[in-house]
This record gives sequence, C-alpha cells and structure tokens, in this order.
Amino acid sequence: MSEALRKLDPSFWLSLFFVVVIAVWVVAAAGLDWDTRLFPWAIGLPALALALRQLVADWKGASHKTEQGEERYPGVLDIAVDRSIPPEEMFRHTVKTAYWILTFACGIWFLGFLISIPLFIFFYLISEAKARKFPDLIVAGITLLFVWALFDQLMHLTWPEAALFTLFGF
Amino acid sequence: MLDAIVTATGEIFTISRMAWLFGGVLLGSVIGFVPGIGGRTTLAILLPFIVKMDPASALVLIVGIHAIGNTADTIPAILFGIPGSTSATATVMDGFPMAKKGEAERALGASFLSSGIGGLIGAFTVLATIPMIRPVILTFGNPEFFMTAILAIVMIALLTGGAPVKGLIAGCVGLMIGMIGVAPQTGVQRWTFDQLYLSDGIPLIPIALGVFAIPELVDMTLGGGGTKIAANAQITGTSTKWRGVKDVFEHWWLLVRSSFIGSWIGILPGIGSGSAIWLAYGHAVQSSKDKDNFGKGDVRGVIAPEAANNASDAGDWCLTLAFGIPGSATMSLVLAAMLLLGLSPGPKMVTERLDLTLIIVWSLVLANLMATGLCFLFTKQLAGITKLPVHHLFPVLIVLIFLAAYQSTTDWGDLVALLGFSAIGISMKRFGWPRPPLIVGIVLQRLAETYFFLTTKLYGFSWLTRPVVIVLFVLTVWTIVHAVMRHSRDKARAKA
Repeated sequence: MSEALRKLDPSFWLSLFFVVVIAVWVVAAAGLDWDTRLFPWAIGLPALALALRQLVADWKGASHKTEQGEERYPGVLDIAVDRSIPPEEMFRHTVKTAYWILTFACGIWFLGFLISIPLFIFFYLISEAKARKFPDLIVAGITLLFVWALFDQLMHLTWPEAALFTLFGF
Repeated sequence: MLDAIVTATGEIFTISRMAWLFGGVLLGSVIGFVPGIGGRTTLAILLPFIVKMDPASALVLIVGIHAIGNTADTIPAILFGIPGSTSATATVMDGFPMAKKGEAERALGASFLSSGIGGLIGAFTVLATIPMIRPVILTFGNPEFFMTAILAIVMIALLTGGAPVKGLIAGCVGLMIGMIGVAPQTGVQRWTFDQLYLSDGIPLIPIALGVFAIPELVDMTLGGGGTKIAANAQITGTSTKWRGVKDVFEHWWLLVRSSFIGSWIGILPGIGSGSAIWLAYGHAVQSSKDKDNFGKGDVRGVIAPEAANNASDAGDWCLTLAFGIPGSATMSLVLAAMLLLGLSPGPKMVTERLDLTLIIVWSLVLANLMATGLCFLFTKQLAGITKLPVHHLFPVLIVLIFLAAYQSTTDWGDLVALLGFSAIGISMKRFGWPRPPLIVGIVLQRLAETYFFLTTKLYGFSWLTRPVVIVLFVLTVWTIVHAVMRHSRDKARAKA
C-alpha cells in the first residue's frame, strides 16, 4: 500500500484536497434554506462529480506520464514550469523558501510590521544573497522608509498589534 | 452634441487642465506601481482634496490617476510575475516568461503601447456609443448577464487544453470560494465557520497574490545566489521596446478585437476588467493557430489582455456616467467623488452635462497617451531590474506582497489567506492545475449568483428562449465541444 502511495501522481493529493473541500462545502450547504443553497449546489454538485472523476484518473495514473523527456502535464494554460529541475530539488527549495516566508509572517505577528520588515530583509540578504552587511542595512533602511512614508504616513494603515508589545502591555 | 464637443475641447486644452491631468498621471504612476495599491488607493487618499476643486479639473485629475493605473500595474506583472492589480493577472502569463527570456523591454513596450491604443479605442467606442448606449445595455437582462458570466468561466476553464476537467474544477472551486460570506440574496452566512473575517468573503487581492505572485517568486529564486530573472537570456536587438512596438502593429487586428472585447465587457455592469482581460487572453489563444507558445512568453498573450484592460476602463466610465452604476470598486470612489462635487451621474450626464462627459472622454484619450509616453520613457531602466540578482529582490518583493495583501481589509485574515492561497497556488502550478480559472471563478461569482437567482425567480424556464441567451448558450456549448474534441485529438495524436 505504501509503495502504491509513493508511486501516486502528486496531482492526486491536490485532487483529493479539492474533493474534500468541495464535499465539505456541499454538505455544509445542505443546512441552508433553498434560496441560499441553490447556487452552491448548482455549482458544487457537478464540481464534486468532476473532482471525483479527476481523483480516480490520478489514482489510475492517467495524467502520470513521466517517461524521460516527456512533459508531465502537457497543454496546461499556465506559466510553464521548468521541468528540467529534479522534483526533489524543487521540493527542497520550496520548503526552504516557505520557511523564510513563514518566518516573516511569524515576525509580523510577534514584532509587528515595522520592526520585522528591516530584520527580515537584513537577515535574508545576509544568509541567502550572501551580500555585505552595510549595503544590506541600506536596502533594509530604504524599504522601511518607503513603507513608513506610503503606508503609515500617507495611507494611515492600521498596523496589527505585535504580540510582544501586547504581552508587556505597551 | 457639436456644441458640447467644441466646449469640451476648449475646456480641456488649457494649461491648468493639462497640468492637472499630467499631475494625476504622474501621481498615479508613482503609487500605482506598488502591487495591490493602484488607482483606487490613490483616489481614496486624494478624495478630501478633490472635493475642493472645480468639477472639471477634479474629473480631469481623477481620470489621470485612474488611467495610468491600468498601464503601470503591468510593470510588476511583467518584471516579477506579481500582478499589480487583478486586472494585470492575465499579463503575468506571458509577460513574466518573456522577462525570464530577457525580453522584458519588448514585453513592456508591447504592453504600454497596447494599453495606450486599447484605451484610445475604448474612449472612442464610448464616444460613439453614448447616444445608443441605453438601448444597447437594456437588451441585456438578468439571464443574459448570467449566461455571459458562465461563458466567461467555461471559456477560461476549457482553454487549459491538456486538462479541461482540471480547468472546470478550478473554475468551480473559484466560484465556491467567492460564495464564502453573506449570501447576497438572503443575507445568510455561508461557510464562514463563525469567523468574522469570512463574513465579508475573502478579498481578491490576497488570493491573486497568493495564487500568482508567491509561486513565481518561489520559482524565481531556484537557481541560487547570483541568479537573475533573465538568467539564461541572450539580450539582442530583437528584445528592445521597439520590437514590442513592432509586435503591436504586427498583431493590430488582435489588438482591435481585444479592445472591443474590453469596451463591451466594461460597459456591462459588474463584470469589469478582471474578466475582460481573461476573455481577451482566451480569445487570443483560441484564435491563434500556433498555441504552444502561450504561457512560455508569447507577445500576443501580453497585447490582448493589456488592450482589453484599458478599453474596459473606458466602458466602465461610460456605465458610471450614463447610468450612475459603478462597474468596479474604483468606480464607486469616482461616483462618490462626483456626488461630493455636486454632480449627479446618470442620464443627465449624457444630455444636460454632456460637456463634462466629453471632457472625461478627452481626458481618457490624453491620459492614455501621457501614461504610455511616461512608461515608455523608463522602459529600459525598468527592464534593467531583471538583470539584478533575484535574491536581492526577493525580500523586498515579499514585503510588498504582504503589505498589499494586508491593506485589503487590515485584518490578520488577509495574511492567513495569502499564505493559504500561496500553498494552493504553488501546488496547482507544480501539479499541472491551471490557475486562471480559479481567479475568474472568484471574480465572476457574485455576478453569476445574483443573476442566476434573479433569472430563476423572475423568468422560470422561459429565459432559455431569449435570443441573446440562445446565442450565448450556443457559444458556451461550442466552447465545450471544441475543447473536448481538441483534447481527444491531442490524445489520439500522442498515442500514435
């Protein structure tokens, strides 16, 4: 079974995700009155049928054509993916980038936007771009100044409260 | 009419009005370049100042700010794959791959010129249709609007070629995401799971940025430390902005068709440029004999949506002025500004205040020319950004994306939505699921559901016999049959 799961087209998991999401929505809509659930069902029921069909196709490996040199998902109208990079490397890189993005999100939550922005830029440039510290500080400073001027002073954006300051009652 | 034209022409070609117009274009270009901000925010910031101006100057300034928005939002779309607004999402599809091939300047040149010409065609279409706009729009009732929305979704979903089922599912999921929040007809909360943030629905900006921008940024940094956006590109004479200009003239007929699609969609209430661009893009793909290059950096994939985008803007203006119905969120602000200036948008704007309407049309024409010229001046410098190491750009772009998402409703939910949709966007891109239908589904959901509800309540089944509905229905069926046949043919060819 685990071998069969390993061999599955990765698209299967996305199909499964969509099946679950659509199914939850369709079932949740059942509790609504007729006028409110009419459109969700008119869209959701055919969508569920199509998603199930796609799930079965992915399970059977219908879209799993990965022989050497063959494009995995031909003819899809979207920005082309560089399939020359091994999937393992792509996955590793995605996880690493996601780590940076999530770190920034956590920084916003903990320190707020205006503190986490220069910190994120500075540490990213130091560790990923391997740049020198002084130019990094300048880039971080200029970005902060731009953000402060446009979003804070001009647009009067309400910044989210930072957890650190809330914790200490500031 | 002739008197009004003479008056409007005299009013617009004064030093002060031209200065206001240029000021608007300049201001709009500075702020409009930042993803997610655009003309709407600039307009909101300036609203308190605008109300103190004389109506004609204020309208000229508003047009200036607004017109450049649809031209400038293309810049981040082409250079980084980050749509500056939802009306630039289609340009990402081929504009960004062109930048990666070292053709950023060509893409920008083509996009600016098609935006400019599209805006002009849109403005002249509005001018020509002002006398007959009312009867034309009245031929479109609820059933026709509903069928237009369905046709748009089906067309984009089935353009996926190799994966029509995935395209349809993505379109349906987009429609369902759009349904989150309060149901427009009954006021009942739908799929909000007791979250206050969800009761208004998920805003489009975090979704569009998550689905399109983050996946491109993740892929952009794949090559390590010194990688540039145009990493492996040979910059040659064929990559310049003048090549882009030549492209526009080579594909002039596509430009004209796309502009008319944009103008028409702009005139229809509620559909807006978010759909016009995809319809134009879809039309460019469908009407091309060689479709293989789309998504890999085909200049036609830049020309069509850009022309439609600016042309729909003119249609949008027409709707707001002649009917008092704002076709988009930005137009709601324009409407508010007009009311604050003591003007009443509606039929009187095309009868008693025709001079003001014509000043707006003139401003649209001139603002599009100014915006195109201004953007053209800096094309080379802008394209130069693609030669900077991506790791230096990445953190700054991530910051801008987070800010653009957050300013949608200034709620934590915006950031959560951005992260969630980023994961979905990355997965969809990697596993061969087309992303455009998802966005089009979300954009058109409210329109489709509202008109579906009204159609079923008011017409029963009789709406199916209306002539325009039949035409749209036949077009929808033809799109499905054509896609299925093409898919089967491709499969048979692959087997052989």
